[in-house]
Amino acid sequence: MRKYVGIFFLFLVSCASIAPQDPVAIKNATDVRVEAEMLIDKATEPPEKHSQAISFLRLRAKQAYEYAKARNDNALSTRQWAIMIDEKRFLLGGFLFMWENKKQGFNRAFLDGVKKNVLGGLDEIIKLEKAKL
Amino acid sequence: MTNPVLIDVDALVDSMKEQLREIARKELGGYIGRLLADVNAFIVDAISDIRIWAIQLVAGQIDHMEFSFLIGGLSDRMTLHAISQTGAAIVTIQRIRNAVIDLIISSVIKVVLP
Repeated sequence: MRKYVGIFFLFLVSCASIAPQDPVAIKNATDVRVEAEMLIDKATEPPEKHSQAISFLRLRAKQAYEYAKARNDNALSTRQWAIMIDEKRFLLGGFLFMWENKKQGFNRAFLDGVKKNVLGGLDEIIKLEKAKL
Repeated sequence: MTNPVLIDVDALVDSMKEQLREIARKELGGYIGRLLADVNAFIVDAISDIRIWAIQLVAGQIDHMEFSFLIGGLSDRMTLHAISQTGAAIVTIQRIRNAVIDLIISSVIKVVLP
């Protein structure tokens, strides 16, 4: 009987499933990563000088979130994007909100830290997508 | 009337036992090794970041609000990392499930069509 228990257990846990790997999702994340890196580098200047780029990046990130949300069995990636774009948190959405509200540029030391967190977070999104079968 | 093909399930499971063990060893062993290395690297990196930001705060290169924002960002990054690990665990389970299904199908076919 014990021999069947192991097989049964495997089938039981197999109920958990995750969407297959999607090249579009990887492209969405890599595009946002490249654009985020370029824009954060420019955040030593006031946000007014980059308002168009800020809006564009926000739109790109929101589109990536909506794309993730529309896919079946994709709750984990959707949650990652939700954290990334949330203005009340501390990654891309939070940084753009902070910059616009400060109305002036940041120093390089702070931006290096922001870049580490935002790009590291986007790397996690890409890592999860690439891990999928 | 001819008998339908009867399958001795006990013999079938016995024949698959070693291969099932091998699947579990390969997939779970690889996963646990990768998980430990990944978590360890992440923690080392996070500690290094906190140290750098604390030094910058003391030196006046960043202010308290910026320091808090960076620590919040690190916390969010940790959450994203944990979600990635959860996804990797589910993928490992899917991989095991696929390998077990393949094994069962090929074993049954061998019995039915010797």
